Amino acid sequence: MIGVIEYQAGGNVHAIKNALNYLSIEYIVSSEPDSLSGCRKIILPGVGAFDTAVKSLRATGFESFLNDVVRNQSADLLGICVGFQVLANESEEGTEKGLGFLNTSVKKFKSTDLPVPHMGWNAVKSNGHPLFEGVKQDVGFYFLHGYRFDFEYEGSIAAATYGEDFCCSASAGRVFGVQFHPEKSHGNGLQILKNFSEM
Amino acid sequence: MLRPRIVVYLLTDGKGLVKTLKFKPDKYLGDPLNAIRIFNELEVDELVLLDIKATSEKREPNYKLISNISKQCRMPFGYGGGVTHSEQALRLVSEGAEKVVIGDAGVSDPSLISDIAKNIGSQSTVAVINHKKDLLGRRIPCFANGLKKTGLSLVNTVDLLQENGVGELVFYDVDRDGARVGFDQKFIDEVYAASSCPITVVGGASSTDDFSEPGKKYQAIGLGAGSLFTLVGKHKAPLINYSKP
Repeated sequence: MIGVIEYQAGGNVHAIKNALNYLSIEYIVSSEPDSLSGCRKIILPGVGAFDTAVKSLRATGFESFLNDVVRNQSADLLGICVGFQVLANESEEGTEKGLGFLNTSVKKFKSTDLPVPHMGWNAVKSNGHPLFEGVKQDVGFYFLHGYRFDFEYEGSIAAATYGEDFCCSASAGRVFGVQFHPEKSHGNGLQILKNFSEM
Repeated sequence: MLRPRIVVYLLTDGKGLVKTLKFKPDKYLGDPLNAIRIFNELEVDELVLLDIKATSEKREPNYKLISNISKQCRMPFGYGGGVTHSEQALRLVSEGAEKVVIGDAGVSDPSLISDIAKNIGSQSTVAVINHKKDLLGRRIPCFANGLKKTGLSLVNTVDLLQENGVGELVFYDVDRDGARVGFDQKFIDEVYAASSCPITVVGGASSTDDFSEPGKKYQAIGLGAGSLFTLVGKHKAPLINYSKP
């Protein structure tokens, strides 16, 4: 059973539910950490600002919940967009400390020529990680973000380019994250969610 | 590298889908939910539904319809029409819309944009600037479905909206709406240069060839079409279709 965390910055939980329904994957959505304690797989969605997301996770008890999950290695965790960024140590977007499961910082895009945020469909290049099995990499995914992980981050498992190369997916132990929105990326997005549920 | 977003723009009068010609109702296209279901199957990049009568008829957004639509869409979906308060924007996002599109209300009072952006985030806050040529051939923003000048210049409008935290600007060409005469590349150059946030231009697309030039030049741009993706042939027969350059 996949547990989907519902919290203030959760954004489009609807869309994640729709995707999981379409894939006939069982899930539970909850804003209470206790309800997700039995889940072996957890999705942390996210839309909006880094600080808002972190503060909301702290206030709802999900920050300690996730700390326990990661320390005990009791579940696979997939962070999406801001839900991926909060897994890092910190972000240039805000002043709050991230959850620190991914040992790196999130930074602003370097280019000043291109429109901000990075918005639209972009190709990805993965290193062969099972999370990207069956994904049409040239088609890629839908992105919407103004801050990004470094291309050089050692936990990177996929990269994309927007004025510069950047890490668009990473993993460390049982913690995973994707910068793009699988719930808004048609077939490729469904494939990511399916792969995550089967890993 | 980012590809140009080829966006489907659908219009409703509150009862069904309609297609306009220079902002006047022209054709009835049927049920929005069915059309959007097909567009999802065609794997469109993005889809926006605008209720062009909501403001004049003083109607709230049709939240039930939006909820049903969002269940069908595995791509970003934006909704606009009659949005005048941030509570509506919050409700729209909670019903599943990725983007809330604000028209006249945002152009007349840009602080509404700021208010909405604070609540749902800049990334979901879209302002649409309807524009047409004045008697001297200059592009000017206009209100009330293309009828009245706003009194501000296009560049001033862009600056004001950006200062208020808008996440995307849509430029809707009243003169080219439904007319299938192609895009105005010089206009696209001007507004792309004037905007620091992503932009989308709508109005005039006659074939996917029209997307090629601006798409190749800019990549980080949205190119929208309504009539191209819903009507075919000389007699404008309704047919849902989609293709990219």
